Amino acid sequence: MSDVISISRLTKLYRNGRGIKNISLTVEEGDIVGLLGPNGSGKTTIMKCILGLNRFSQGEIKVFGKDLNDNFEEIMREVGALVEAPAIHKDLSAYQNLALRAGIYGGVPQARIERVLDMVHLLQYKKDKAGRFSLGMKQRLGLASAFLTEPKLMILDEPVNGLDIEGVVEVREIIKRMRDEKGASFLISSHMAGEIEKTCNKVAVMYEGELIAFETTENALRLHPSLEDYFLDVVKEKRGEVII
Amino acid sequence: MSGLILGMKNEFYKILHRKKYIVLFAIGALICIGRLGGGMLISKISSGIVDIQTNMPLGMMRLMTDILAPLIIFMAVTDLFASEIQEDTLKTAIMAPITRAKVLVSKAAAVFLLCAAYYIGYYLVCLILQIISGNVNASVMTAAFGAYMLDLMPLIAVIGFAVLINMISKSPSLAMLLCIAVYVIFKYMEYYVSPMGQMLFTSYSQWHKLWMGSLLPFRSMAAKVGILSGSVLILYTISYIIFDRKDI
Ligand SMILES: Nc1ncnc2c1ncn2[C@@H]1O[C@H](COP(=O)(O)OP(=O)(O)OP(=O)(O)O)[C@@H](O)[C@H]1O
Ligand SMILES: [Mg+2]
Repeated sequence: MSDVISISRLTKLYRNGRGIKNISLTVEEGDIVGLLGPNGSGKTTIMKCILGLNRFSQGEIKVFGKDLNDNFEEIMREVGALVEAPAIHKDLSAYQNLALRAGIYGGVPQARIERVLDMVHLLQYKKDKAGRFSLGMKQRLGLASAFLTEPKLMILDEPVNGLDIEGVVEVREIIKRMRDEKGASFLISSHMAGEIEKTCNKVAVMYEGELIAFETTENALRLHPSLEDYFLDVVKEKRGEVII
Repeated sequence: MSGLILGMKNEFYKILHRKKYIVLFAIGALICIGRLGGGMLISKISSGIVDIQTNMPLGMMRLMTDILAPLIIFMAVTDLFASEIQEDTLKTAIMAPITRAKVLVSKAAAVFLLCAAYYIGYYLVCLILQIISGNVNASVMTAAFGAYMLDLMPLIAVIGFAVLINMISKSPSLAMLLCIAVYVIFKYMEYYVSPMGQMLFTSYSQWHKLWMGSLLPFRSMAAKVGILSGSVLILYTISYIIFDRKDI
């Protein structure tokens, strides 16, 4: 299988010295890779680098086999994303927000916009101003925006953040369906091991700006009762190294 | 290229959704009406001896070029840059099949389009008022329209200036404040600090006078075109360098 994302020795340090160091990671076609790590471990930073939001000083990112910086437009045509808080224009309606994003792709059929709104159960609120949405509704709109163009690669930062129980299950199902039916690939972050365990076929553990483990979920679960235990063990091991 | 046009459409769409630009336009139109009313009143009182309004569009031009246009430019550029950074919506424009250079140009172009719409709208309001006042000369009105179109050009530099201020300001209110403060200083210099003030891009807001005078002062014209295009180049280049390195 071909690599959808291949990151090698990526370093991005913010001015305060924090950030990510020497990250190498690959996402293969059809993978749902979960980035697991505590708050501030660098999950969002990796995603922002892949999406051109953060400029990085060292390393290389290839998406669909092509260098990100040299082929940005071509690559982004096939990428959908939700990073941190969903970017929502407050005074536009849910529908207008999606239409605005569709505009940059030269337009998306109206039926498609309504379909993604329906997928996240916002169709009945499509004319409401997005600024007045609840936290979870905004998150749903952010997801709809990521799914809008049926991209081959989706980068979702805490996708189920703020969603209700049914919402969490539905989003998981949508992700799996897109992978199975369309062959889409995913990079998903979460600080909840249980969520990654249920959704992802591979798990990457981030800790203090470093990637300290990268395994298939199957392997990780072979020696551990749950991904949570796996995560705790990996982190403990890492801390042990530092002390010795 | 197509990405640029699609981007510009998007940015223009966002601008049009803010009502303040319509309100500002209405205020400008009201001032014109007030001026016409005043003119007619004076002419009536003096029983036609004093007739102020001979060329409404040109007479009201300074208000547009020196006050309204800069104001809408500062507001629109701040809406599209500093406000979007603060509200975290700029990332939608960046995480899209469009390079940062094109994002920057498409935003600037959308603001220019807004200015063009304002100038044309404002000219039409003045033209209608002129017709109402019953004193129309087709060739004078055509020349006035030409003047409006020519005066759009120097706004490209004003937009670049506002973009640059937005690149270095941490918040929308600071960006707006800086834009206005620096603009006022430049305008002050134009009138009171010569010859330095005359070399600033802000002093060309009514440069149609250069082009449409009875004789064309070629040397000073070439110099001013040079200074203006130089300013445009510098303002946009520096803005782009800062924008391209920013973490959004
Ligand atoms: N714009 C910024 N400027 C300076 N430091 C930053 C910036 N953004 C993130 N950081 C720092 O970089 C580190 C990684 O942050 P990041 O947002 O990638 O973490 P995260 O894994 O996504 O955390 P969370 O689970 O809380 O979302 C943190 O130490 C954070 O303080
Ligand atoms: Mg994060």
